[in-house]
Amino acid sequence: MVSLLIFVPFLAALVIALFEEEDAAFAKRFALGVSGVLTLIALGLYFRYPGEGFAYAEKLPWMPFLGASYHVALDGIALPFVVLTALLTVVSVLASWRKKDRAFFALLLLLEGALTGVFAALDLLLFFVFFEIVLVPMYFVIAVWGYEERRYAAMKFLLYSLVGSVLMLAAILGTAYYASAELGKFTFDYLELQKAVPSLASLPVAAWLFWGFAIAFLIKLPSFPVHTWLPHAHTQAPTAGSIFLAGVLLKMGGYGLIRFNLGLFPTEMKRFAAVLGVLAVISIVYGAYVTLAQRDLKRLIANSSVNHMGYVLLGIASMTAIGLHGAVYQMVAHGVITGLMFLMVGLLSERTHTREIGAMRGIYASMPLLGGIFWLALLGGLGLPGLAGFLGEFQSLWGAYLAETTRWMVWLALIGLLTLVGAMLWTVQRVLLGEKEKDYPDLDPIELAAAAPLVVLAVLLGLVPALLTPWIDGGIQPLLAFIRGLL
Amino acid sequence: MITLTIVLLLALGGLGVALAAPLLKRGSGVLAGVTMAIFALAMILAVAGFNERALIFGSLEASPLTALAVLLLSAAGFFVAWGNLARGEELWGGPGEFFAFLLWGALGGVLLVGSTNLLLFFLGLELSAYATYVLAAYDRDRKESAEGAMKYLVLGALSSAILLYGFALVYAGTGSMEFAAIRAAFLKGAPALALLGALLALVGLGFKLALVPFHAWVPDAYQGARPVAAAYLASAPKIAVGLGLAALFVRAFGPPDAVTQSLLVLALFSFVFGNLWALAQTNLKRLLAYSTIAHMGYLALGLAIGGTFGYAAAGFYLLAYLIAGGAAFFALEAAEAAGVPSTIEGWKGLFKRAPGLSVLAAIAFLSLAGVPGLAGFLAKLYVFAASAKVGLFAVLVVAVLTTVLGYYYYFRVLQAAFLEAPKEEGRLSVNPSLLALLFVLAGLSILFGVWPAGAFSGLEQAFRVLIGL
Repeated sequence: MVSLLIFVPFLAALVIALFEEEDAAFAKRFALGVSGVLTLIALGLYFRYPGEGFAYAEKLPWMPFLGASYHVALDGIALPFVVLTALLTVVSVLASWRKKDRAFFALLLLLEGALTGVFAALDLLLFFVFFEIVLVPMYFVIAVWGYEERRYAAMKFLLYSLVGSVLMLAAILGTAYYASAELGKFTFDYLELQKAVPSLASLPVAAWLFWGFAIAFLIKLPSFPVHTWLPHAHTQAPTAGSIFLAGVLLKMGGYGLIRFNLGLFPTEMKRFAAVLGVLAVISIVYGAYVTLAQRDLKRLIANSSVNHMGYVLLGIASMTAIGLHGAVYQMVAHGVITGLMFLMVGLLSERTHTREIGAMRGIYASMPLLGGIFWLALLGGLGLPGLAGFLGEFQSLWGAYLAETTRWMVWLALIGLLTLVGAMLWTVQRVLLGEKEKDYPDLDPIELAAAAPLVVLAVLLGLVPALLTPWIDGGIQPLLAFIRGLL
Repeated sequence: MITLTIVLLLALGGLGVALAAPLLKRGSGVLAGVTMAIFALAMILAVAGFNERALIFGSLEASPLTALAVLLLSAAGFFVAWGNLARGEELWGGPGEFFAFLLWGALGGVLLVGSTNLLLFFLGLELSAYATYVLAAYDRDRKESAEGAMKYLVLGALSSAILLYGFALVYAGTGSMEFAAIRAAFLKGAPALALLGALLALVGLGFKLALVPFHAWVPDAYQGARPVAAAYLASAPKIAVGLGLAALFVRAFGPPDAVTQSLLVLALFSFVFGNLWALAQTNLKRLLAYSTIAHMGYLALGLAIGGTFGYAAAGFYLLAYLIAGGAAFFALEAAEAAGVPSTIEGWKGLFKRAPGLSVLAAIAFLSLAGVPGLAGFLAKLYVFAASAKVGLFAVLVVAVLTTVLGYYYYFRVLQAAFLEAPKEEGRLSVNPSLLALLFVLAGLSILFGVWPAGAFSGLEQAFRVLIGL
C-alpha cells in the first residue's frame, strides 16, 4: 500500500505527460481524482495504524551489491506527513484550477510521489534518492510558473538544497562504512544501522557524520543561518509551489533530524543540543523581527515560517518526549496553517494583482469569505489557543523548558513569540481591516473547496489533539526508549 | 573462438565497408546499416561468449572483460553510426572511411583491453586513436574542425610517445614485454626504472582520458568536430582506455601505490577543475568538453580505488556516460541539423520550437548532472560508495561538492531551453532517426537508472575474473 502512494503519482504524471491536449481540462481532473483517491488511502493507513513502531513495511532487493534495498514503512512520525502530502496535493491541484499547462499538474504529482517516498523510506540511499528527486519538479514549478524573479529563486533553491544533500550523501556513505565494521556488512538499512549506534557513537568522526546529516536538514527546515533561500523561493513560487514548500518540503528537514540525527547519532545530538537550540532561538527571534519588516505579503509569510520552524528545532534540541512531540505537532500544524495562508495570499493577489501590503486595505469588507479564512490562518500562525498552531509551539517550548540545556533559551524564544503575534496582528490590521476600497469577487466554490480541508484541520487539530497525539507517541516513544538505553 | 570471431568480424567488416564505399553512389544509409548490423552481431556474440576464457595467438586474452569491452565499444559505435544517418550524405569525400574507422576503432579498443603484453596494448591504443583522429577531422572544410583535429593529432601523438617511452622503461626495468612477467617483477618490489615507466604510461593514458593537466586538447577537438564525431570522441576511446587502464594495472603493474595515488591526484584535479571551467562556458560543445573532463575525473577516481567494486563502479560510469554523454552530443547534432547553433544563446526557447528534442535532451543533461532515477546518478553514487568503502572521505567530500557545480551548468542549459523565449518562431523539423536514437538512449538512461543490478553484476563478474578472485 505504501508503494502505491509512492508510485501511483509517478505513473499518473506519466499519463498526463503522454496525453496530448491543448488545455489542461483532463490533466487537472485526472490529477484531482488520483490525489483524492490517494488521500483516502493515506487516511485509511493512518487510522489503521497499530499504534506503535513501524507498520506497513515492504522490503525488496534493489542494489544487493551495495547493501541497499527498497525498504519502506511508516510509523507515527511519518504517517501524518504522508497524509499531509496527499491532502496538500489535492489542495494544490484545486488552487491551480485556472492553470492551462498539463505539465504543471504532472509535476505536482511527481512531487507527491517523491515526498511520500522521503517519509516512507527506511533505507538511507532510498531516502536520499527521493530527497533529491523532490528538487527537480520543485525547481521547474518555481522556475516556469513563478513570479518575476522566478529563475533566480529556483536556481538558488536548487543549489542551496544540493549543497546540503550532497554532504548528506557523504555522511550516509560514511555511516555505512563505519557501521560495516560492527555489522560485518555494508548496509544502508535504517533498522540494521540502528544496531551499530553504540559503536558509531564511540567514533571520533561521529560529529562529522552528524553534521553531514544536520546541515542538509537545517537547510531544508530552514534554520538560521542557512534560511536565506526560503524567502526567495517562497515569494517567487506559484501558489501551489508555496503550499508544497511550506506544507511538506520544509518538513523533510524536521523529519530527517528526528529520524536520522536523533535515531542514529543520539549522543552527538546531546552533545550539540545547545548549538541546535541556539540556532533555533535565533531563528525564532530573528524570523519574527524580519517578518515584522516585510512589505510583500508572501515574503511576510515566508519569513514567519522561519520563526515557526524554529520551534520545531527547539523542540528537537530539547530531546524530551514533550519537546519532540511538540516538534512533530508544530510541523503538521504549520503545514496546515501556512499552507492555508499561502493559498489565501495566492487567491488574494490573483484578484488585487499585487502582493504589496501597503496597496491592500479592507479586504475583509470586500471579500468576507477570503478575508475570514485568511484571518483565521493568521491567528493560527500566531499560535492562538484553539487552533492547531498553539499546541505545537506550546509543547516545543515546554519540552525545551524541561531540558537543562535549553531551559534558558525558552525565555529568549518568548520574545520571538510575542514579536510574531505583533507581526500577525499588524498584518490583520493593515490588510484585512479598514474601509472597503474596491469590490473583488469572493471565493468561488472550487477555491472554497481547496481551503475547506485546511480550515477544518486547523480548527480540529486545535480542539481535538487526540487525532494526532497518539500517532506521534507511537513513533516517538520507541525512539526515546531506544535512545535512553544509550545516553 | 567467439572472441576471435568478433575480432575478425570487426577487422574484415571495416575493410569491406571501406572497399564497398566507392562502389556505392549514394550509400551512406546502406553503409550505416551494414555497420550497425556488424556492431549488433558483435554485441550478440559478446553476450553469448561472455564467460569464454582463452588465450588467442599468445597475446589476446578472451575473458569477460574483453567481452565487456566488445559490448560497450560496439554500443558506442552502433549509436554513432545511427546518429550519422541524419547528415551522412553531406559528408565530404564519401562516408566509407567514417564507418570503416568506427569498426576499426572498436577493434583497437578490444585489442587494447584484451592484450597480455605491452606491444599489443600499444597497437590497440594506436588503432583506436587513429579512428578518433580521422573522425575529428572528418568535417575538414571547416576551419575549426581542421584546427581542433590538428591539435588533437599532435597532442595525441605526443601522449603516445610518452606512453611508449614509459613502456620502454618498464621493459628496461623488468626485462619483459609480457604482463605476467612484469607483474611478477613489480610484486617483488618495483625497480625504480620500471616504476618511472609505469608513471609515464599513466601520463600517456591520462592524455587519452582527458585528465587534468593533460586535457588541453579536449575543448578544441570537441568544438571543431561535428557533434556526432564528438559523441564518438567522448565515448569509445574513453571506454577503451578506461577498461584498458584497469587491465594494465591489474595484469601488469600490480599496481604500486605511487601509481594509484598519482591517478587519484589526476582524478581530483579533473573533477574540480573540469567542473569549474565548465561553469564559464557558453558554447555547448565546450561546456560538454569540460564536463567530460570532470566526468573522467570521477571515472578515474573509481579506477584509482580499484578492487572489484571500484573497477565495476568505473565500468558503470563508462556505461552511463556512453549513454548520456552520447545523447547530449546527438541532441546537439539534431539541433544543428535543424539550424540551431550549439550555444546557450542559440538553445534559448528550444522547448517551444522542438519539444520532443528538448525533453529527450533534458533527460541526457539530467543524467549527466546526476539526478536520481537516471543512470548518471548511480554511476556517481557507485564511485562515491567505492571511495567510502576504502575510507577516502576527504576526496569523497570534495567529489560530492563538485557535483553541485555540475548541476548549475547543466541546469543553465535547461533553463535556456525551457524557460527563455525563443528568438525565432516556428516549429523545427527534427531529424526522425536522431529523435529515435535519443528516445532509445533516454530509455536506457532510465532503465539503468532504475534497475542497475543486471548490468552491475556483469561488470563485477568481468572484474572479478580479471583480478582473479
